Amino acid sequence: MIVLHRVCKRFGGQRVLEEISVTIPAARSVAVVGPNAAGKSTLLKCILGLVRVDSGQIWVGGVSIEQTPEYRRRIGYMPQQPRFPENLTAAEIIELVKQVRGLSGAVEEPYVERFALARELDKPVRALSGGTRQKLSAVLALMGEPEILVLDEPTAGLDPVTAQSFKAELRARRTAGATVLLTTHIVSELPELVDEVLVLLEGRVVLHEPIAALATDGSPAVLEEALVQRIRRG
Amino acid sequence: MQAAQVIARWELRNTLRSRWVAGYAGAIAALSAGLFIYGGGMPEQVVISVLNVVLLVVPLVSLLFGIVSVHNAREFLELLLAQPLRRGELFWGFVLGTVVPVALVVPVGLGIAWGIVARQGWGLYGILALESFLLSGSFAAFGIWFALRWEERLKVFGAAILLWVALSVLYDGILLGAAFLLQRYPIERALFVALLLNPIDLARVAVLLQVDAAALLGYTGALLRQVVGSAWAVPLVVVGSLCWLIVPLWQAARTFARKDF
Repeated sequence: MIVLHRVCKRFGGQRVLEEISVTIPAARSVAVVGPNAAGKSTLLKCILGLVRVDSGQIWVGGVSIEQTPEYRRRIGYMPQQPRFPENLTAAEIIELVKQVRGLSGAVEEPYVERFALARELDKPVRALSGGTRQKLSAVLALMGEPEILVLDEPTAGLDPVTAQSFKAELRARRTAGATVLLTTHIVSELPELVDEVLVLLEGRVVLHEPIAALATDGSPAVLEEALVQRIRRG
Repeated sequence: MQAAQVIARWELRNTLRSRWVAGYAGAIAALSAGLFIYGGGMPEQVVISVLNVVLLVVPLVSLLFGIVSVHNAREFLELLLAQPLRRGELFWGFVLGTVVPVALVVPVGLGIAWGIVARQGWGLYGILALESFLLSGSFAAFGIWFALRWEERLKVFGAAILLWVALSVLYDGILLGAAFLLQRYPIERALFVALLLNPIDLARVAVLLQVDAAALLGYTGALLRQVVGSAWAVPLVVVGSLCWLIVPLWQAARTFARKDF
């Protein structure tokens, strides 16, 4: 379970997150949506400890994130822009992250296979395309099967086939009981990926509802219309 | 600090594979070898020539290297910070893997040329290698600190160029002007302190104290030798250079610990 209590964050004079109080129960999938600069990525980064909150508290699995970095062992993170050391190979990047996370064995193999990354593993990162780097980022987030997945626009930059594979993997992880927190601008993929939608607007939560309550028939078009209406109302 | 070792090992591998680092080491080795071959072959003469290059080029190259290392690694640092690591472990692992190799470029490049061509005067090589290591490390650490401190690249590069120009070009001129204008006053102690406030001057004095080149020591260097004696001057200068490595590293570590990524 992820709990945020009255979380505030400012960058300079600009308030990015304002009194955010949200509870994400274990084994639920939540999409954070909203216009650009609404605070979506900052919210994820606060949970990961990449951004220090000005006030408020965050607990992951009942542990305050300020106590220890160990809680991140339970989290797989996929950043918005995957960039890696240019002179290391994809296989070496995977090995590095495995060592840091204390993972052993071929935990990456199912995902390397799923995303057709095997032929790219021995190439230096500088020779990889943007899409391949995104696949590598997905492997790093998923390997070791963490209980919580924090994904910042995960399907942006993936080709349609890989995006399908990735979404299938996310559905499988949901079924297996993982907690998923993701940001996206692609509303049409929400019904198949998440249980709840959290709408951020200028750093405030203006809506936190189950998908079913927003689009009773599960239709992406109805959901999109409902979200747009809510965002316009502010 | 096991995680720091892991980060340092992989970061070191990444840096050592950089064509840029190999080119830099090759250029230093070629330059040193050329000076040994065509510059009379005496280590003392060559050292003075190499020293001039080191004092001018190494700080700028190291500053830029430090800045670029952070800018290139920014998103990867973000990914690593999302792993079960303490910020300190990540910072020191990253710094060891980036600063140490760039600081070793001149000692290694020069050492290759020295070993092949000169094959004597290893004490002199030792002090030049040590001072160039500390000078490179210090300026690379400044580069890392600036890149962590400010988000705007223009501000980061502006601060770096300003620091380089101030310490390598303007400082001695200002000091000389001050010494001239205030010659009626007892300013020796102030000038002695001024020497410690410039890592480039410290490196220059440390090496020249080993060479019989009193005329090149400058006012502050001569003053140092006069005040503390030749035997203590070099250790004092090396300690001063070490402080110039520690201070920017400590500042960078503090900035990294509080930074929002």
